[in-house]
Amino acid sequence: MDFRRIEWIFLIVFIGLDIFLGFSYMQNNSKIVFSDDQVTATSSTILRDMRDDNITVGSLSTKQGEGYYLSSQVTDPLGSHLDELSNQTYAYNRTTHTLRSEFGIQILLSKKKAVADLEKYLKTGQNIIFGDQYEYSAGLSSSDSMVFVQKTKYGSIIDAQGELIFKLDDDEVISYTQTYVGDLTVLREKQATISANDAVQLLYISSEIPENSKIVWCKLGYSELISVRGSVIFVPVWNVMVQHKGTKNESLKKVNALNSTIIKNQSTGSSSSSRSTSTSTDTNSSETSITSASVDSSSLLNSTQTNVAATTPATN
Amino acid sequence: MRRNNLFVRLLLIIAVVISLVLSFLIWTNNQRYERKTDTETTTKREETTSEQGNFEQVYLPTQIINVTKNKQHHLIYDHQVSLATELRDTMKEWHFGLARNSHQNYADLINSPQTLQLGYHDFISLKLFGKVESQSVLQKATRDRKFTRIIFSTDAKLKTVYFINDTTKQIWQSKVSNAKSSQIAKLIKAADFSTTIRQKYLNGKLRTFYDESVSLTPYSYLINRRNENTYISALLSDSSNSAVDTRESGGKTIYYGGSYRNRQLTVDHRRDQLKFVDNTTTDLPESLKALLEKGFTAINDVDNPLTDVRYFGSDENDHTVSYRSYVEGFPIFQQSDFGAFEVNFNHTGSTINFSSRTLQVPVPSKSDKVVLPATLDMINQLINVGYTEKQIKDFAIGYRWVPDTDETDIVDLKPTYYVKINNRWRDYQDWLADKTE
Repeated sequence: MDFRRIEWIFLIVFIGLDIFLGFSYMQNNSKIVFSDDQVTATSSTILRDMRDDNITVGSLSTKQGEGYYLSSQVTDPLGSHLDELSNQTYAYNRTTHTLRSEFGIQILLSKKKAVADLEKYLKTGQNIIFGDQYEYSAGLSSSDSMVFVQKTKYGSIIDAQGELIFKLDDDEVISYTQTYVGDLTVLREKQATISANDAVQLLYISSEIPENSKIVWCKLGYSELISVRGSVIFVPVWNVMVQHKGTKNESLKKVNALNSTIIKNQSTGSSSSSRSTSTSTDTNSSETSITSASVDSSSLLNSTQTNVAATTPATN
Repeated sequence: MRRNNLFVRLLLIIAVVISLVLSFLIWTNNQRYERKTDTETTTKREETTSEQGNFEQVYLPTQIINVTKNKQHHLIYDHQVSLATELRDTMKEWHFGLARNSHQNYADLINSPQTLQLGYHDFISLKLFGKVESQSVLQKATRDRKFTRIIFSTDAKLKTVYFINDTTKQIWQSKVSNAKSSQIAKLIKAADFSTTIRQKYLNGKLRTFYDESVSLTPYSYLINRRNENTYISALLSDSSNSAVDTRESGGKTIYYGGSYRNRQLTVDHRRDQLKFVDNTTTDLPESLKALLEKGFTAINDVDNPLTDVRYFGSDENDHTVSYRSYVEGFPIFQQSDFGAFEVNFNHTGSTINFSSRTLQVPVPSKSDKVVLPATLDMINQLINVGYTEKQIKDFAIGYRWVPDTDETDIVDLKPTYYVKINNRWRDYQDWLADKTE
């Protein structure tokens, strides 16, 4: 009789023990899943937060790339080829190394193949200095301008110092502005760059992407980092075009792809001022020379208009 | 009645068996408990991929020697791509077998034609190398080995990789599969710098002697002096105790943190040198692998950029490991008194010496190429002014850190020989000019 009671007591105690052990075992297992989750979640939580903020991001590559630190001595490559230009009236600013030119007779573009037409024009003869070294950038172009960026053997330059911008008036090209980066030298061996996805996430974490906006495009290209010792240093930079969904305003954000830092105070087309060594007086003087140059060019245009118009052959 | 009795007994037996099984499961899986308590650290380490990337970079070989068909040794380098990184990525694709003792003759092996040699400045652990190359067989080996050099063939019969301890002349070999020598040959061919060398012993260590004068390019860098606040937040602050005490003495500031002020950060403003002492880590690393791993964790915590930092040397008796910044294959000296980092472990705590000056952006150099004399000429010059061969403990071609006189943010890196005499690394020109130390 006693033995049976003891058996019962043991049974109850062991069932209780089993429940306790089973419970603690299960709890352990679930904890692991939870902690693992936290490790992997960082990237996906950012994505979720971005979705909550109504930010549209297309599919972005998570693949790391490669790039170089490049330097270019500040020289005047365009300035030494000016006499090759024909059938144009031009003004060249030696401080900003910018060439502005107007065509005597407007170039007509057919709407459908405007890009192909211009690309062909660039490559023919002496129309544009180093014309074959530029490629069309749809992202930077707008309804009244077509932007070509300079391409090098290391990749394209997305910077105001290596651009060719055609001004459009309906289907006519009236004028262009051109800048060109001279010989590039590699300063250091190839380095790994961050992925497009990393760049966009970094911009978001740093509150650079406002709510209710859309990432229009992302492109890796070389931009000026600093100008030092008479040379400009270029680094691979992620250019991210952010568009506000309501106002449709676009702004270009730049992320240094080598050390993943945001390059601030730069918007489309105005990034040539160096930020480290040039003094304030320097930048002032270069600005004034731009205005004087534009006055120059307009007077030049008036005086030589007839002459040039007579010699300009018709395109198309 | 009897059946009921049997049923209770059966239930009891089952309950006992279940409790035993559950106890066994919980006891044997004790790492699950550890993981549970580690949730804080695992979440902190969300950048594990970049940490692994840094680890693989810090423990890359620093010297690549190509032995030609006619047994000439050439130190090679590629200014466009990092050869060491490319080789590491290529070798990651290989499948290494277990490393066994090799019966190869040491002298024959290091002079065997058509081979590539990857060298470290000091001993490295084979298991750690397995981690760098993501080779599970090497990592899981029961016995670890210490080596300084890796040798493999560059012709079609690339089937074996040798690991060599140049001090004891011990050799281990590991069979590799999936290795393609054509990829290696392509990398060697692309290298744009090559100089003839000879490998000779100097005070028990195999060193690279340059046969002819070497012409090297100086480099310039924009440097960054990191703010000490970044180090205070990286090293001193923790969730439990955020108070940091400060004390000034001379040109130094000492910050105290941790629960019993058991972590101190000393900042030497004049020389941009910092010292971090952590009295809570009193475990000594028991092996070279543990020393190198703990050393890496320590420097990674400092949070300086590690892109250019490479392993330079270690002392197992002293539990010290040192790291230097490397530029284009050569170490930088005089960035501080100790290189980029020096980590020491002892029973009272760990000490990290580091510099807040870090290389940031390469800039064009002002000076032309520098021609260095052949190594024997350099040593003879030292002997001529009165040093003995025995005094010269070590030497290496390295870059001298010379701050620009006009722009304080720019540093010029001038190539020169560095010589270790009386446990001090100095430019050989300085040793020649000044014999007092």
